[in-house]
Order: sequence, then structure tokens, then C-alpha cells
Amino acid sequence: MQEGAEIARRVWRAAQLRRLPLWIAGALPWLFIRSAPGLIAWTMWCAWDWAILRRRVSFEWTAWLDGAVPEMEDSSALIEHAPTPVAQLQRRRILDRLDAAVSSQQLRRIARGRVKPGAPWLLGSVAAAAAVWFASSPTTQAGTAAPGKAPAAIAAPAAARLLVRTAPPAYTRVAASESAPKDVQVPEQTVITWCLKDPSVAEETIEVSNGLVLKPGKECARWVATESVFWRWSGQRYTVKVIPDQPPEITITAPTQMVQELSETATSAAMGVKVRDDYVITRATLHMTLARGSGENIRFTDREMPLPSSPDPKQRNWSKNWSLTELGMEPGDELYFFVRASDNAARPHTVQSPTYTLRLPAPLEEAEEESAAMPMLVKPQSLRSQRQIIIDTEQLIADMRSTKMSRDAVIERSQKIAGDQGALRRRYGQFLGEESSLFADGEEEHDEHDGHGHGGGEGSTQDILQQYGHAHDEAENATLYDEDTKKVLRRALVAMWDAEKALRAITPKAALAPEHKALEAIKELQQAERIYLHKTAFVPPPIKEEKRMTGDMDGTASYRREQGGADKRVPEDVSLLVQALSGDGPLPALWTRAAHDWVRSRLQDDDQRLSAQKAIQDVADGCVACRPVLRAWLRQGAGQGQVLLQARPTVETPFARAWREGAKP
Amino acid sequence: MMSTLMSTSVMLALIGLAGVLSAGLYAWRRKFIDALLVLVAAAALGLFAAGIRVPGDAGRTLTLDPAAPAPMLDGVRAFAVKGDGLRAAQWNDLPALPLQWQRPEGGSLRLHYPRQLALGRTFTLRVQRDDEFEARLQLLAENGQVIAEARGKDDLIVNWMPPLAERVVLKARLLDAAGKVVTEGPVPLTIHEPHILQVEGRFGAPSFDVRTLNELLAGSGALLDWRVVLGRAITRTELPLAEMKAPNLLVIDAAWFERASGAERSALLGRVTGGLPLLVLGANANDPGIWQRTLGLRLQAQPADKKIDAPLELFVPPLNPASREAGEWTGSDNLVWTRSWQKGRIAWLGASEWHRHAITEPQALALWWQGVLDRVGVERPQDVEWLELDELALPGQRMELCARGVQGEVAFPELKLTRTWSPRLDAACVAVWPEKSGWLQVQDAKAGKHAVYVHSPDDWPQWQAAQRRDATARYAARTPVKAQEGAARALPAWPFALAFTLAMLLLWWRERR
Repeated sequence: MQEGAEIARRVWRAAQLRRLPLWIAGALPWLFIRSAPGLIAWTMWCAWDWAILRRRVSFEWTAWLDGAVPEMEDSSALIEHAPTPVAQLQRRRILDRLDAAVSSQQLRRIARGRVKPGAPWLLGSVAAAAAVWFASSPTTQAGTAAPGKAPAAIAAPAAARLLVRTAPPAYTRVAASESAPKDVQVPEQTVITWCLKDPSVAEETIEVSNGLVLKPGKECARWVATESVFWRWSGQRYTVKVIPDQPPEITITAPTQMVQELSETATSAAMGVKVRDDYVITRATLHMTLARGSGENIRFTDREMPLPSSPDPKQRNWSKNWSLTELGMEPGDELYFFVRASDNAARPHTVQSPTYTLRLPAPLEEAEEESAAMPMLVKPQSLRSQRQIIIDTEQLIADMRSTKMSRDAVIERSQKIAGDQGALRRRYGQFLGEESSLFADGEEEHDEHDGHGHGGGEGSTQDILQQYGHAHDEAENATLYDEDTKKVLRRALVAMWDAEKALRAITPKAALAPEHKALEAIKELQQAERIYLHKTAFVPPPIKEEKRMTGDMDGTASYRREQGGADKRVPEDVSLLVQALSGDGPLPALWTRAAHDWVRSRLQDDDQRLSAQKAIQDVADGCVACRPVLRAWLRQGAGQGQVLLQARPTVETPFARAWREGAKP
Repeated sequence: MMSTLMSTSVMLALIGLAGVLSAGLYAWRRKFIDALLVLVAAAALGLFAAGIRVPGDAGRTLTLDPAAPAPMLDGVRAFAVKGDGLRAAQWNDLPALPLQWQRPEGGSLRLHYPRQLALGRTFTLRVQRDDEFEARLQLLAENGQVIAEARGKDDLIVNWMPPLAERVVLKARLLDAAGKVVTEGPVPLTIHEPHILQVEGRFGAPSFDVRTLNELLAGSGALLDWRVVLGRAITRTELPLAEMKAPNLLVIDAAWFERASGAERSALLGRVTGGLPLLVLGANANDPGIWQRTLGLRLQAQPADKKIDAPLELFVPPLNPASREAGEWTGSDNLVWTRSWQKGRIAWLGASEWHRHAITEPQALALWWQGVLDRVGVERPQDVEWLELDELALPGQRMELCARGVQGEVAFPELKLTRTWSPRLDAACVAVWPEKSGWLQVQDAKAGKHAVYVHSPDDWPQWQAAQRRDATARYAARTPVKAQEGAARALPAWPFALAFTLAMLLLWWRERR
């Protein structure tokens, strides 16, 4: 009996093995389209098929054996059931030669002959899976209208068809990468390339959130990353976050104050500099300017010194304890220094630190002696030279940019520089015969700004001049200079006026250009070799005596013009777009361009811009529910509204009119 | 009343007499059981006839369910309701009956904001709370960005200046001190284009103030007809961009008025008589006598450096009205004095040097000027006006939409519905049942298009609670509970009739035996 069960099991196994490929192959299409219901249905069919097979095998296996193996002598049925002693005898005979007669090869052949491979079933399964896939794919495309809901089942094979290469600029030393689509973070100026693995397949496009549409066909699509964006392909969105290249950062660790007064007995001065960059610092230099002398007699010595590089290319730390002799400083000198550093970006960022000042005070007695030695009517003014004014202005600009200076401090410093500039201008103005500040105006201002008080002696001089002095000359003609020199002088003065004006208006940046112009003019003057004595008379235009003091207003006239218009803060196309977005009707032509331009120019924050661009894309896809969101982004770009003066609308109903008239009989 | 009472008592006496006589006869014949039966029957008949009333509740008290107020009101003599009560629209459908209701305490919230706003005005949302705790109120745009924020313990106010004319559904969010969201909900708002001004200006002298005002008005899109006298026979004229059909404001400075000839003055005042508001900039007034004579305005010299501090620092001109009430003139805030001039109005602006704020705080200056114009009463007559809903509109609930100056029919395209305005005191109203939440479009032949925001039933539950409580309190105030105590209930009469019949039948049966 045991042996009988054994042979039945072997036949059954062979039959199962014959059918197994069908069961597995039929499941594959469902696995491919990831349809769980299909897979379940196929499994159920397999179970049913298995049951049918089992039933067939259990009924027919003896017949199969008899048909295929002659050695069985048509007695296979006896293996299962042998009712008579003769049958039992035959059964034993057959069992004895069973192992020899029935090999597994023979069994496989039997199964091949008796059990069909079931190809029609397989075809049916494939066809059904294909039908399901085709039926569901249009709905997934429609589903992309809802933001970010592309089913993973579709996206995964789609994503596998695209390759994204990023090639960061060489200087960043970030490795290039190649991958399936995913969210990436790349340095600025990275070249991103999209390539189709099989260029002949699809006509699909890559939509970049800034409105760009790329078509990776036979040639790959390229884009240089300049701003953070996301891109969409096959309904999936991927973010490209751009990390901007930061300019180098300079910290001056010593001296700690912008203007450091060294003690009189000091013999050394410490300097410490730290420069950091996100990639590589290519160049870092220390610029020092030594100013010696006082009044207008100031000499400048410039020095430039490279800062040594350190093993880490990302930073340079340098400090030195200079002795004053090394710096060449003597009492009364000032040393200005700043650090300039540049990095290795494609367009290198060059950063300059604020200017620091080291001041070695002069002994007091010496200063008095100096003034006594000057053969002038008055003590020399403590004038700052044009060059010092430029340095001061640059320092102020740098400080305003780097440190959070209080508004008052900025005003005070700007005014102080303006005072200096004004003093210098008046000084030069003398040469043109302008009202001399040395004798008259501007004194109060000077007292405020430079701490030097003017002695009583000076005051008395001034009084004498005012009382007894008499200006014979026209201002313009009063001096000894020729017209060319005066032209240059005038140019210098005009530039100084402009610089002072800009400084008084607390716009030091605007003052720099005229300051430099003035410096140039002064240099030109200094280089002029001779001064010619040349005197001409001023010829004023004649006065029409008959018209004078008549009150006649000829030449003046009333005028009329059109009133000023309102300034449009929101361009027409954007407000039209907002109107259209309020409803669910069609949007104006080329609205995406208007929206993209508006978003790019008005939304600075990366995340906000990306969200706004996502909203633009969603609306372009036909999502009506996304319209208010896009409207809100556009509105946010417009900022706060403006107060518009307007009338209050009133409605006078018959009731109100009757009430009013009744109240006032 | 008296006669019925009389007849009832006569009847009762007769019944009693008959009963006692019959019982006496039976007792005479020693039929005590029959005598008893007669007495019982007489008593039952008497009680039946008397119609005794028992003091106490009359009829049923119906407990109302806010979700579905009962349509069957037969025999209902009073209502009871639990919780916040019903909406005003639901109460309006019910007859005035006494109400048993205990007003819940706390937990409610009220929002105050205009549903319609002109572009260029400030949107202000005020949240009024029952429970005082440190909280933060945020106003968010549709993209989830915070556009205004306020924090505080009691009422919270946020302001926002809309930049575009559109229909928006903002979101307000109330957060507690820890930053947890207490409640949030939609804030629908329609921003429409402003009614621009058409201003005629006549000035006797140029000034920075006049120029600032000109720039403010021009920047607001107003049409200007502006004439400034620069010197003798020299004027600067500005012409309007478009034809000025109906000016709605005249502005002059005091110098122009003082120098104008009598004819010019009377022409100007004639136009004011016709209904135009006139604003006088008082800064360069020089001659109090003219003002006293022509306009009845008593001016008084002011100290040289007198200033007004709030909300902007401004100077008081050398001549200003002496007091707040000066004859026909009424002042407000020592800033604007107005008087009516037949159909029109004349206003005196007693402040100067506002141009000092034009660069530093242009927004504040423009707001101040808007305040001045509103006080002057610069109005634009309009034929129709949509009124705001009294209650949050909810889908499936009756909504009452009212407007002024409308008549005839109004259409609701989404509901495919046309209704006829039914006139009220000085407005007209229609009732509709919106089907779904969102904007409900309304179209009227005269008033044009309008939209009402229908809230979702889950929006602002605390605000809905507050509105229900108010409506329920109003309803309860209509019928005081006292009234129901006097009502009495009739004792049912049929048991007495039955007792009488049974007693009589038993008697009859005993007689037959």
C-alpha cells in the first residue's frame, strides 16, 4: 500500500510541475502593473485550476501509467486497489519492478502528454492585465490635475526611463552625479542634464517651475541652475535646491575697535584676521595705509601684503604682533588697514572688510610748536585731507554694510565727514575768493565737529578784519590764478559741494564719486607748475533801468497742465489675471508668463517662490480649487495695499428721506 | 361669564336636589343600596356638569431639537430647549410660546468685520471672546501665509490693507498662548473698486500742504480741477484727466475765500447750497470778520506754536474756531468744524503742516485725510446697497437677504431660483435656502451681481453658538415665562359620565329584578 501511495504522489508532483510555469507566468503581468485585485483574481483561478488538476490526476493516474509504461501490464489500477488474491499477487509483481520501470523522466513525459501547458489561460491573463492598464492610465493622467497625487505605480517605471545628471562647477569640488529623478541639492551654476534612456520612446516634456519647458529627445535637455526650482516629469515633481556660493567672510579679531588709539608708550600693535569661505579662498590680502603729518601736509604710504594660506583652503587665519618700527609708525601717525579676499567662484566674489584705524597720538607740546611756526594770520585748521575724507567715507559705508549701526550713529558720522569736507571746500574756496571760512562763516560748525577750540586771538583777528577790512575785489577775480587753474579749482569745489551734499543727506555711497573727483582735481592742482598772475575785470550784464522796480511781470505767465495720475502698483495683466482667477472661466492669453514674471520679481523667498510656481503649474493643469491659492500668491507679490482717498457711498431710501425731512420741519 | 356661572350653579343645585330627594325616597323604602347608587350618580353628574379646572400646565411642553425643530405643534403650549438654542431663522418659523431655556455660560466667540470693503480702505477683523486668556489671532491668505497678526487678552483686532479688488475667503485662526489652534474658520470678504473723488480746488496761495493734498488725491485716482494763485494774475491750473461730471468735493483755502470777490463767493456758496460739501483749509486765514459775516464762523487767534498730537503731530493755524460748539458749527476732535448749508455742508479744517508727514508716514497721512473727508461728509449717493446678513448663512437653513433700493425680482442662478423682493421698512428682503457652502451668486436687475458666502455647518461653532444664544434670548424675551403659570387645565369629564351611567344602569337593573 505504501508503495502505491508513493507512485501516486510522484505522478501528482510531475503534473503540478507541468502546470507551475503557467501559474507563475500568469501572475507576472499583474505584478508588473501592480494591480492587487488582478493578482488576487489570478491566485483564485490558480487554486481552482489546482483543484481540477488534483481531481483529474487522482482519477486518471493509473490510466496514464498504463498508457505510457508497457511494463505496468495495464495493471496500474491494482496498485491502488487489489480486491482478489490474484490481483494482490500481480500488484506485488508490479510494485517490485515499479522503481525500475517508472523513472522521473518518464513521469515528466507522461505529464507533458497528459497535462496541457495552459497557454490560452496565460494569454488571457496578459490580455486582461493590459486591458486594465490601458483603462486606468488615462485616469492617472487626469489625476495629475490634483497636485502631487501621481500614483507611485505609474511614476516608478516612468522615472526609470529618465536619467538626471548634475555637473557642479569644477571649483566647488562637488562630485558630479547621475541618478534616477529625485530631489537634489546642488551648488549654484550646476549644469543639470536630463537624458532619456530610450530616446525614441516618448514625446514627454520636463516642465521646470520657472516656466521653462524642456524636451529630452535624442539629445539631452540642459539647464544651468541659478535659482531653486522644481521640475515635473510624468506627473511627479522633483525639487532642485540651489545652494548659492557665499562670498568670503572676513572677521578681524584684533584690534577689537574700529578706531584703536594706541597708548603713547606703545611699541607694538596686534592684528588678527580670519577669512572663511564655503569653498576655496584664492586670494586674501592685507592693505595698510600709513598717514603721516597733519593739516594739509599729509603723506600716505601704501602697503599690500598677502595673507599666507593655511592647509585648509576654506579658511585663512593670520595674526601678527607688529612692532611700531616695522609698521613705520611715529607719534601722530595713523595706520588704516583692511583685508580684501576673493573666492574661486566662476565670477569671484571679492569682499573687503571695514577699514580699521590704529592711531598713535602725538605729544601735545609738539602740536603747539608746529602752529606757532606757521607764518599765517590764523592757526592752521585741523583739516582732514581729501584722501582722509575718502577713507572715512569708505569706512562708514563698509560699517553700514557689515555692522548694524544705529541710525543716529550713521547720521553723526556722516555729518562729521560732511563737516570735514565742508572745511576743506572752504579752504580751497579761498583761492577762488569765496567767502573765507578761515575768517568768517562756518566757525560754529567747526567748533562742533573738530574738537580744536579756536583761541581768543583768532576771534579778535576776525573782528578786526570784519570791522576794518574792505573787500575791493569781485569774488571771482580776486585771486592770482589763471582761468585754467581756476577751472580746475572750480571743478574741485563743485565736486566737494556735491560730496558734502550727499554726506549731509546721509548717503555716503553717493558721496564717494565726487570725493574722488575732488581728489583728482586737487592732485592736478598740486602738479601744476606755475601760477600766472593774470587779472581781468568782471563785466556784469547791464541792468535795464527803465524796467527796474516797476513790478512788471512780463515773461512770467500762468500755466496749465494735466493733473498727476495714480501710480499703478499692480500691472494691468496681473490684475486682469487675478480677476479671471476669481471665477472658474478661461484665463487670459499668456497668463503663465505674466504670473511667472510677477512671481520671480516679487517673491524673494525660495520656498514661497516655489510654492507660487507650483500653484501656477496646478492652475495651468486645470485645477480650479488651486485658483484662490495662486491668487493669494499674486496678491502677496503686490504687498500691502495703499490708502485711496474716496467718497463714502450712501443710499437714500424714501424712508431715510422722509425721516430727515420730518426731523427738520 | 356671570350668567354661565349662574346657570351652572342652578343646574348643580337642581342635580343635587334631585339626587338628595331620590336618595331620601329610597332610604324611606329601606333600599339603602339604591339610595347610595343615586347619590353616586348625582355626584358624578354634578362633577361632569361643573367642568372642574385644575391649576397648572396646560398642554404639552415640547423639547426642541436644534437639528430639526418640530413641525407638529398641536397641543403644544410651551417650548423647552437645551444648550445654545435655535437660530433666528428657526425661531422666526415658530409661534411665540413660553420657552424654558438656561443660557449656557462662556465658550462663545463673535467676529466683527465688514463683508464688503472698498479698495483702499483698511480691513479690520475684531474677535470678541467670552473667555479671557492670552491668545493670538492670525489672518491668513488662501495660500496659508499669515498676512496680519495680533495678540492680547481680551478683544483681538487685526488690520489688513488689501492690494487688489477681488473676492477672497481669508482664514482667521485663534491660537492660545502655547500656539495650539483654538479655532479657525473662513473670513469671506468682497473688495470692490473705490468710488473715486472728483475734487475742485481753488487756492489763494501755494503751499506744501496744498501740494501734498494734490498728490494724495491724484495718487488715489481722483479727478482734480485744481487752481492755485501763485501771484498777481499768475495761476497754476491742473486739468482733470477725464471729464468731471459730478464733482463731489470743493476744497478752498481761507486765503482764496478772503480775496475772492463777492460774486465769486456767492457763486461758490450757491453750489454748496445745491448739495456739495465744501472744505476750507484754515491755515492761511487772516480776516476773522469775513468768516463771521459770511459763514457765521467765529474765529479766534490761537497761540503761535499750538499743536495737535494725535494721531499725527500737526500745527493749529493762527485763527481757529474758539470752541467745539460755535453757533451753527460743530467741531470734532478740535480738527474739523462743520455746519450744514441748506442741502450742502461746509467744513473748516483747523490744522496745517501735514506735509511734514508725507515722506515719513504716507500711509498714516492718507488715513488721516480719509478720516477728515469722512468727517466732512464726502458722500457719493448710490441707488442700491446690499445689507449684511444678520446670521451666518448655512446650507439647508433659511437665509434672509436684504438690500436697499431694490424692487422686482432677484435671481439666484446656482439655485435656478427667482424670487420677488418683499418690502420692509426701508429695505427689501428675500428668503432662500442655499444648498451648499461657498459663494452663492445673486443677480438683481438694478443692483447687479452680488455674492453671499454660505458657511459650512462646521465653520466657527463658537460664533454660531453665540448667534443662537442671542436669537434664543430674543425669542425668550418675546413671551415671558410668567404667562404660563396662570393657565389651567380642564379635568377630563368622561370618567364622571361613565360613573353616572354605570350607577344609573345598576339602579335600573335592581329596579327590574
